[in-house]
Amino acid sequence: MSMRDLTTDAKVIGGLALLLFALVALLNPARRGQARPPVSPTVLATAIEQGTDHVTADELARMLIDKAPGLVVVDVREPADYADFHIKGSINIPLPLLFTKKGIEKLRGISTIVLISNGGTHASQAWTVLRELGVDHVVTLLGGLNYWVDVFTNPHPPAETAADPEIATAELRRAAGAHFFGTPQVEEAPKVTAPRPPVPIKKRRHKGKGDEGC
Amino acid sequence: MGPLFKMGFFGEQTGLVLAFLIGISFGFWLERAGFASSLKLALQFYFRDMSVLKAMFTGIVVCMVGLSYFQWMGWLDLRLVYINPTYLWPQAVGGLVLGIGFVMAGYCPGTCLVASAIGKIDGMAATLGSLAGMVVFAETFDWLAGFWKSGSKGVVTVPEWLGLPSGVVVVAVVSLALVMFWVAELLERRFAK
Repeated sequence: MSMRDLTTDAKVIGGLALLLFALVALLNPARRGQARPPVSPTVLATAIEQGTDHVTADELARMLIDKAPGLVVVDVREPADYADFHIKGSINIPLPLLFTKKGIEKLRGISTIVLISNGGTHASQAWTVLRELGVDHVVTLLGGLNYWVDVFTNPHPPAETAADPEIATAELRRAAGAHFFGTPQVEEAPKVTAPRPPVPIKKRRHKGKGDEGC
Repeated sequence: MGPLFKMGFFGEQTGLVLAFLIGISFGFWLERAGFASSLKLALQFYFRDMSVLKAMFTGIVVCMVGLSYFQWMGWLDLRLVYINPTYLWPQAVGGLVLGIGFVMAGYCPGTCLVASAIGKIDGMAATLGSLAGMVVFAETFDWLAGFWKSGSKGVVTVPEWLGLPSGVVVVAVVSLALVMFWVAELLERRFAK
């Protein structure tokens, strides 16, 4: 049925009903400019509880190596610390700058923001502030840079009895270590003992008749 | 209690199934309303059949009044509803490009899929055209990125922008819609064959 089939009466009644509902909506106590107040704590609590507020070092390494589209890794430490060491591919926005209007606008519309600090405290604080301000797609790096450095410069070989996923993780860590820290992680090479020099075979000199053999 | 997904009433998988069902039913009703015909869609640009405008705006105002009541009654936390951030200039240009495409093809991105689904060749051509446009956009994105990010206003809603209570905006938009319906029907009668 198209709009044209409606009778004029139906249109007028529909229009008036809509207007009446809208007029009653005037009494809605939603405050001025408060149509969209900050995110409720329940939502933040749910994200924390479900663990969607962070990524692990392994997950981040994989995302960086795979060049995940729309990924921006934000290092919130001081510029000096950043210059000292940072994850390859991360950008530096120190906390004071991040909390300005300009800093926050920079991060809007990015599909995945990963916040990084040394231990994770500052990153988590930044996470809370950004979420409150409606920047949704933001996570922190679990354990921060301390854990990151530890896990990739000092990967433990999997136990003999390890299951496949554990072996895969260990291999990812070895490869990621080489990717992020430049130096390939070579396990202690087994000691190569020089082979014993071949024992020279002494040819017996036959003497006598036998020499003229076949 | 709402939005149901963000409040954890169902997970992502169920959400995708529901989105699929809602999408299919949206397409079904678009088709039933005759919006799978490029002729009908094109007629609105000649002011001879304004049903697209009327249907779309009816959808918008009913939804707006409904959400306003849901929020009022505490059924829906509007703060959790995703709103696209505003990028003024690129969105203006994007609207213009979409409009030109709409006039040329006789389909918008939704209706061309509906038309394709019922086997219309012009609908399929429009679908392929929009896919081609997406590929070109994606491939030239680095070049366009500066413009794409220009005029960023963050997430803004009309009540925040004008500093008005949301109820006033609801009444204003509903009144605007009613006036538009009335003008649309005047135009239909004026330009009818």
